[in-house]
Amino acid sequence: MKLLTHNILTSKCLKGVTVGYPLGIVAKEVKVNEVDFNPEFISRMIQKVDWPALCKAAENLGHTDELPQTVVDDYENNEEFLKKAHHFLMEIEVMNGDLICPETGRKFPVTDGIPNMLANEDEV
Amino acid sequence: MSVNLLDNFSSSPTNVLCLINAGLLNGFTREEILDIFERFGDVENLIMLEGKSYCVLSFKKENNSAESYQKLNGSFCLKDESKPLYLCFLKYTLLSFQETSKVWPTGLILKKNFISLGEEEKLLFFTHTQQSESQTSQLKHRTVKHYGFEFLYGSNKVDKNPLSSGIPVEMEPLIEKFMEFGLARPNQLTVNHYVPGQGIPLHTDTHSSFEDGIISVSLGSDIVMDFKNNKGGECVSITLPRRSCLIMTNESRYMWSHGITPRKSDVVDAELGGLTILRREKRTSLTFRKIRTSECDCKFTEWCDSLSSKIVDFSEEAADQIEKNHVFHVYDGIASHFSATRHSPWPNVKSFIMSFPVGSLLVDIGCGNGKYFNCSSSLFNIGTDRSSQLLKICRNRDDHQVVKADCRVSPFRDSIADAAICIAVIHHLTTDERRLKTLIDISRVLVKGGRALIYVWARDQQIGIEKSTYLLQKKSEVSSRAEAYPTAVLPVHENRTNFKHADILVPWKLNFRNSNSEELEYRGSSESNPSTYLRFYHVFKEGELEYLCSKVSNITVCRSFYDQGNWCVEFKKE
Repeated sequence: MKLLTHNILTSKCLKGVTVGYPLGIVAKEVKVNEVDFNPEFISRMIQKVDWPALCKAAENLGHTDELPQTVVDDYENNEEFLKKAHHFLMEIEVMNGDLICPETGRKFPVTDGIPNMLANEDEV
Repeated sequence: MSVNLLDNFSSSPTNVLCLINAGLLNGFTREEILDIFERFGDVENLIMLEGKSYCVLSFKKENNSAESYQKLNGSFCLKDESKPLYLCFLKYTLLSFQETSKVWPTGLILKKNFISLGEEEKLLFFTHTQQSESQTSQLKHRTVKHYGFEFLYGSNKVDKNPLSSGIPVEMEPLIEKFMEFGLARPNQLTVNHYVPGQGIPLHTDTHSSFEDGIISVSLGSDIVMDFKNNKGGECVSITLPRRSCLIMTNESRYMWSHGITPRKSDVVDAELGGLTILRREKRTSLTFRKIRTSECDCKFTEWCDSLSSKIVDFSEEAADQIEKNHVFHVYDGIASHFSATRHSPWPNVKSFIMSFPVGSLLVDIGCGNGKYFNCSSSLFNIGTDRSSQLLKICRNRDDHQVVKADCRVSPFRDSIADAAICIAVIHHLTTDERRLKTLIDISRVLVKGGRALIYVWARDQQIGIEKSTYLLQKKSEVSSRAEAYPTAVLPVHENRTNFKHADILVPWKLNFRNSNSEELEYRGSSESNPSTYLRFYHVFKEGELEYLCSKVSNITVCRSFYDQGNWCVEFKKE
């Protein structure tokens, strides 16, 4: 699970959960895959990304203060920033661990890179 | 048309006469007027207007009109009324008015002179002798007798318990004529006797009760039948001459209402142009229908009661159970074999994906083995599926981003995806409500202006002469032998044939070379053949997917089409 994927996931599927975002991460195994850098793609993605949620996810993985707290101005032309964003969004993958619903504390396991966001019948 | 008669009066004789107090409104027929005036010379034209108590008649020669004026004006007594006829001269005749162009309901067939006078006489005699017998009911507006099955006026349905008497043998010559026209043999007959002034309210015979092709034979009197389009609301009145046969098929049977206004006469088109009055006589109608034994498969879903009733009404528990046994477990069991046989993306889905710009987010709801992930490297794809085995296949191939989730509740933020695809997924859901919920959730996830493409398996596997690839698939791929599935909870479909039911189980024969023993632990309930899995499908009929989409607020269907045995819709979030 890339952090870009994580940035889009919510636990809203649970009964009584209104926002369910962002999901906390407790990682047991993380890997880094090299992915080709495409500045145009990353620039477009940054518009969709909830930046504070990304920072928090990075923090959960132990990367404290590695990302600026806000998206920098004129980021389209800031290659250093885009590369950093690319690394966090596209290259870091949580392979095993749990995602935590911020409202209920319910854990969603991540196994071999696949989050299981399926709620039980009594949870929906 | 509005006519200003005052500007048109002439104080001196002309060849044009206005009959001031004789017109369609006060019950004059064309023939009656012509009878009176043709004695004086050749009538050039007679214009009778609907809703007017006058008419305009022109002679070829002016002296004929002058003579008739002298002889008739103020002295000729009209019919049995005491009032005399009043006439005046007009400078010119009325311009021939434009007849409103009539719409003819699609699929409506009228065969004039369907039976001879002799045949009509025989049928009238027979139906009148029957009328006095039992089982005749006097409705508010007419007398009715049913044969074969009872047509329930009120609900416009049929009582599917057969009546003691079937269609009488006396109808056999008629039925043979119907069959010559390629109509199916009817098994229900309603005989209605109408006296002048009686009618029948506008109605559509219930879809689930009767097959396509409702036949009505008119005996004893011409009648004007009104048709109303249930969709557009346009109305058209059609004269059914006595001895004619009316066949309602297609749109006219499923999407139009028909009825007879209770009145004693009708205004109709005259044979030589213009309008005239048609007085009603006693009329007997014979309505032949064929009782439907399976669900209605019409495409007029908005008016089809079958659409709701035909969907097997599973309880939530049963629905869960069927999806678990016949969808989730099946896909986990057949994952590798399925994936090996499902590798090429469908071209129309691929071109939809390619239509989005770099950096768009695509969610693939029910991504299966992820065959659409590689269509475009400039998009960010996230897939969801219920099958862990299929998700593993995706993940192990190029680390695709996949999440295990229910398609009805995707675990994504609101208004985030530019594109969504949901290909061959919602036909695996057991209820209409679940299928709709999935579409609503897809629209929730889309950004404003975002587009989704939905594919579902079509009940019609052959449109026109073109067979779908499903029907054409080589027999060698699967055993074509029909097998018995004694424990199956739903009808089991015979592969490579057209679908007979909407909710079915479709066998998947596992090829042992592609499977392993672990997979065989999860099986659908096909006890007879351990290598066969039964997948649940709800196959969609034409228009059903669009109808489902119409229930989702803030989306617009951009296009809908048929693609290789699937009904497909592309919609946009507003």
